[in-house]
Amino acid sequence: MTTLPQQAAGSPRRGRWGSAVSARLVLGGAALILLVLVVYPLFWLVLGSFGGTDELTVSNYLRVVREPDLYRALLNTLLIATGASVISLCAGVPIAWFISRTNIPGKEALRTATSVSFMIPGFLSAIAYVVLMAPNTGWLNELVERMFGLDQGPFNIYSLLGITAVTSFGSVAFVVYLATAALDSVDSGLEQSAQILGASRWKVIMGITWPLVTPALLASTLLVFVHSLALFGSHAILGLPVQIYTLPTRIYSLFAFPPDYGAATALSMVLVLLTIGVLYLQRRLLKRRSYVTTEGKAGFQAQVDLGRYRWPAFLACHGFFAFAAYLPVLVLVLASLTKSRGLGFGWDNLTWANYRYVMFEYSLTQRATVNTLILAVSAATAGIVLGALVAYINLRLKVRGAKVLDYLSTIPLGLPGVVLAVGLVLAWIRLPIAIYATMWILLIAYLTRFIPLAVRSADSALRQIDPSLEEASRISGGSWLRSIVEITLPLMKGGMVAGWSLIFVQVIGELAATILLFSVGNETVAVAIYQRSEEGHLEEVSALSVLVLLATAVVLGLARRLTGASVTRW
Amino acid sequence: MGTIEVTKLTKRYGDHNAVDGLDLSIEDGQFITLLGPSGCGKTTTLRMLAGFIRPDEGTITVDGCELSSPARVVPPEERGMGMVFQNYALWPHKTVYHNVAYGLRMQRPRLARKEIRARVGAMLEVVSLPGFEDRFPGQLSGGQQQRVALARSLVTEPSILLLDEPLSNLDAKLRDRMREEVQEIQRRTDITFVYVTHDQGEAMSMSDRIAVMSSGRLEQFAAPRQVYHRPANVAVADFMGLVNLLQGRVVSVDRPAAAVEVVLAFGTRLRLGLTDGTTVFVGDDVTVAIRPENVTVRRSADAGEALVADVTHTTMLGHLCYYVLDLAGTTLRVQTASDVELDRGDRVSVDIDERHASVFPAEVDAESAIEEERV
Ligand SMILES: Nc1ncnc2c1ncn2[C@@H]1O[C@H](COP(=O)(O)OP(=O)(O)O)[C@@H](O)[C@H]1O
Ligand SMILES: [Mg+2]
Repeated sequence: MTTLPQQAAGSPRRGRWGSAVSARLVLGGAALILLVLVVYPLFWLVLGSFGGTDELTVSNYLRVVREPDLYRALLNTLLIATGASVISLCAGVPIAWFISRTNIPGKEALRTATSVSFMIPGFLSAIAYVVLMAPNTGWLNELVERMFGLDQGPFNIYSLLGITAVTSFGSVAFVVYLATAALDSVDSGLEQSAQILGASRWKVIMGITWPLVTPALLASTLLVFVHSLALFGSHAILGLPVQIYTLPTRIYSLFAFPPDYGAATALSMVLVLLTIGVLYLQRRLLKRRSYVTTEGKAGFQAQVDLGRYRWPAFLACHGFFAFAAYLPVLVLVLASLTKSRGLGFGWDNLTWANYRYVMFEYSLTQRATVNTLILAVSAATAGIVLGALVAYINLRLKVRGAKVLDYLSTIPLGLPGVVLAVGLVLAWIRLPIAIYATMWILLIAYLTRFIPLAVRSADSALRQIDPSLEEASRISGGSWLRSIVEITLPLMKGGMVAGWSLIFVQVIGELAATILLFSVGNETVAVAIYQRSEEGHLEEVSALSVLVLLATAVVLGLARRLTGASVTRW
Repeated sequence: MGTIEVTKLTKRYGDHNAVDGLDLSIEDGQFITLLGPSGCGKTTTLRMLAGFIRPDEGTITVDGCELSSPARVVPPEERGMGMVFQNYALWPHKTVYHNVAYGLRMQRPRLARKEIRARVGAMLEVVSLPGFEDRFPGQLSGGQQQRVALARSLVTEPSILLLDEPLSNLDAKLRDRMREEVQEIQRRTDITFVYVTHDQGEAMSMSDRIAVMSSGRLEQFAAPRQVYHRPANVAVADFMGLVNLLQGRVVSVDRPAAAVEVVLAFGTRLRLGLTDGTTVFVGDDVTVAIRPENVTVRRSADAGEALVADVTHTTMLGHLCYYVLDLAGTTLRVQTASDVELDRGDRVSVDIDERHASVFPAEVDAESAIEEERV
């Protein structure tokens, strides 16, 4: 056995910086970044809606209530959002119940289908449905025409109904996620004790289970509503050709030359207030009546035996996802492999040419691919670093004002992409430095849009790490920075990788802000898809779309392999 | 060297004083325990010593060097102390070797890799874990994790080691063994240990001196024997183990001998020594603290002037027996060897050992104050 030598007497080592000083510097830096990213454009947006710098007026808002083409956009938006919420609720709740509480076959497949429906960018579903259900040329229409000898197929995706349906396909996942979590957290003991007291199964469901999960269901429905308010891509592709405007697409069209900034900013503010109002309601609902957690901590779950309804239930669920997930993907893949949509299906109509064209021959799509990769990598990296910084400051630094950062970082949740872009245009166009009309403005837009996602990922990763791990490093002689680099960051790695890949795929699919901010030479893949689809080149657009879906799947799959856990909610 | 001077140390959370004017003077190489019920401010005190918390008032001076004051706190990494955390706080992504080597790698000027390797190896031997270098903390048992935590904090040869309830997560048997090992390491290294626990047995068996705390204040700072037999006040007496608190009145005071004569509620007269700092006068109401092992009982109830009591409750613990007696309306708890066999309803004679009883001025609501603290 060894004996330890005595430590020589000595005064404590001195650092050059007190940690309090450096903590304040970091806080100040992060606050400055968030102010520039979030508050600065918001400021110009609000100011612009009141008439700008010259004179303050409410005339822009008066126009919103007076001019039919402005308030009609508002009405359409409310109509679509309400419709999508109802459809999502009606489809999502049974699916969630089947997953959580029954012996339906293939639950994992249902979960995967939900994730797929969630991860397909809305404008890609829209394009798939154009291929399927455009009047005259849509495949389904042609099929029906040929089968029944009609002149005109019955489907028209360019309609309020079509837009509403496609919107709900992309948002049903909110309901399925939250409802499953809520149902999972209701311990079956509660239900069984009611059963023992003599209640029938139906009475138990209506009397015990539903009252417990209702707040979560309502909250998820409101989330669908907010999500639908903000959608741009699918509403533009399906609505603009037939002059069906929603708030985001109306705002976009107001930017066509000559731009009408007054109306655009006022409409944006209406959209923001609507979003914030509903989000506030949603939060309150979850807070006030949260009998159940939405985190899905499973209690004991008794499974209902569906008996002979197992397979019908299976078919019904997957029937819905056929429209919400399988068909869009399948159609895009098929369309991307055809020479021309008009030629029908056959071996002689199959080709790789669309892929060759977008990848190797067409300079716009090549450029767009490179731009998108650069932007996605840098936005994801910068975003997750900023997110980690904000989360760290909020959770670990005992500095006054730390909470403020957390609040600042959630503001973008209330800013739909188009609205954010309007704010950024107004904010940066006036600056002499070359930000506007470069890739930088896109990077700024993505950082701002996805900072809530980044902060949430980093926050939940950091919460898993006991603060004493960092303290143990400090007392062992590691400086503050050293402790973060050696201990905290490596332990946060999984959550940060997950957050990084989520931001990455979101950027790839971002159209709402990009469409107002890109300039020639700085197109992204999403912009290229949108532009070429407007011009009707759907085969080549489908090829690009499939590439986007592939990139999404690969990045999420890799992240899953690296972190050992599903990156999306499941 | 590791002498610690704590003066008027205070930490507030809101308007609640977690630590309240704490004065402590710790000599080099001692094993000091901060003892007190949960929530009394032990952890807060320890974390102020480590430099994680800035005091609101008071100072901490180590070897003549002021490390903490409301104006300035030398950060933890510059204090040259070690700390063992209650949850061990081992880094799950580092092997045992890298956990232990971490503190050495942080040292400036840099140590040679060979030296680090040698010292980690030697340290793992001290804690009986040689050959565990490449394991991850998740692959170790609780006791082994505990040893790694000890090794990690000792390898840098700190002059002061802070330990926050390091054994509380271990099962009883392992706790006893680790207790001896920790003590052995302290003896061998001569490092000043500041050890936090709420377990008075642990405190008494390990410490050179015990600082008994309650509600953020220091109640007594003395050797274990003294804290147990000569508690400074009723709160300490109560916290150090089961105790009978009997009401009485002073009938005479013998100042030169520092002794008083007290008559108890049931009429018995006791001649008791006064604790330092206790002042009582003839006619004062007092509380007399008597530990159950300092009362002897005999079955024969015939001795004329002896106290007579009825057995109301018996608890057999194997090597010991506990009895609850009813002594003319006063409840008295006694402890005997287990070969003294008494049953409920037996009439016994009682003898109180005056040498080990303590007397305190009766606080108006001493009893209820203690009850509150227990909660
Ligand atoms: N960060 C904190 N914020 C507010 N109160 C605290 C904090 N840390 C400790 N306290 C309070 O200070 C008191 C002392 O706590 P602590 O030092 O942890 O007690 P012990 O370690 O003796 O159990 C407790 O009442 C506790 O609730
Ligand atoms: Mg504690």
